[in-house]
Amino acid sequence: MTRQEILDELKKVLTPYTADKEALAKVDENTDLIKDLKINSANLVDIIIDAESKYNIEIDYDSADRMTNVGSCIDVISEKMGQGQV
Amino acid sequence: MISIGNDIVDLTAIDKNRTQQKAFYSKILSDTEQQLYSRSSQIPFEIYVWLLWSAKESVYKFAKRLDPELVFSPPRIVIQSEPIFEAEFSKLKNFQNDTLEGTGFASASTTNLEILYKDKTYYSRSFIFNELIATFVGDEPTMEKIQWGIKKIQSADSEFQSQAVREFISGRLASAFPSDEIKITKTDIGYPIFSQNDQILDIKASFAHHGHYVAYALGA
Repeated sequence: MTRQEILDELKKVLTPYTADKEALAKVDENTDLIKDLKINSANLVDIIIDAESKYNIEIDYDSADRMTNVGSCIDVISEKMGQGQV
Repeated sequence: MISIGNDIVDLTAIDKNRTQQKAFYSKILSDTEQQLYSRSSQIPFEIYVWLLWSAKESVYKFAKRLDPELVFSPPRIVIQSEPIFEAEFSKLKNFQNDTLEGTGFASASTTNLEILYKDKTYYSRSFIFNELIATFVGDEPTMEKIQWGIKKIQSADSEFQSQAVREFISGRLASAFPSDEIKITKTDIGYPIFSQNDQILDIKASFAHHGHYVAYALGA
């Protein structure tokens, strides 16, 4: 998958956890999950679990820690899918 | 007081079934903390998970003010002691009157933890009701100077939550700083700054919101 394809799928993962659909529509790699998308920190684990099941990957503690913005989420997902940096 | 931290969890907004799945709670609790539960199983497991989450998040907020580069990593913030629960914990109470405020925790029914993070010990006090868990964290065991508040709000919209917690704490501050309006802004890393007539006030505070609840912790 390309980064763009991962981004398109990631948006679907994030959708249930943000009420700010306008910000979600304008998402780019620098979008911060908490500050920009107003996702409550209590939902961060949900997002990691959803990404794990959607991409059939396992996200360890170190990788989960990095998933604070959209770009780093894509980094982690693409690494775990075995493609390394796209 | 060098910093302060708090967190609130709206228990009506969390997914209880999902919380009980290992894939979920193992992202929050260490192996030791998972084992600790079986010995203190007076409370439902999902409440235990979110109690520890709120303590860990509060510690993170305390530490982040002093070290802005920190990232939140719940399993690395370690609960040191078995939670000390009230004797009649089996009967959780409802959150009544929509607002609860106080100073210190000597007369409050709280669940208390000691938490270790990066070689420093933190102390937490948590109120647990049927609807919510509200946690307050300091780095001194007594915590008698911490002013705190918990409030039910009408909308879970993030703008509304943010406005509501500001109004809530402003009401509390009005008695201590009566003369002029207090402005509240936030730093880049997200903690609040208070000013009056362009003077920054020596106040450390932490805000939290989730679902239909907001809370503040306040220390001079």
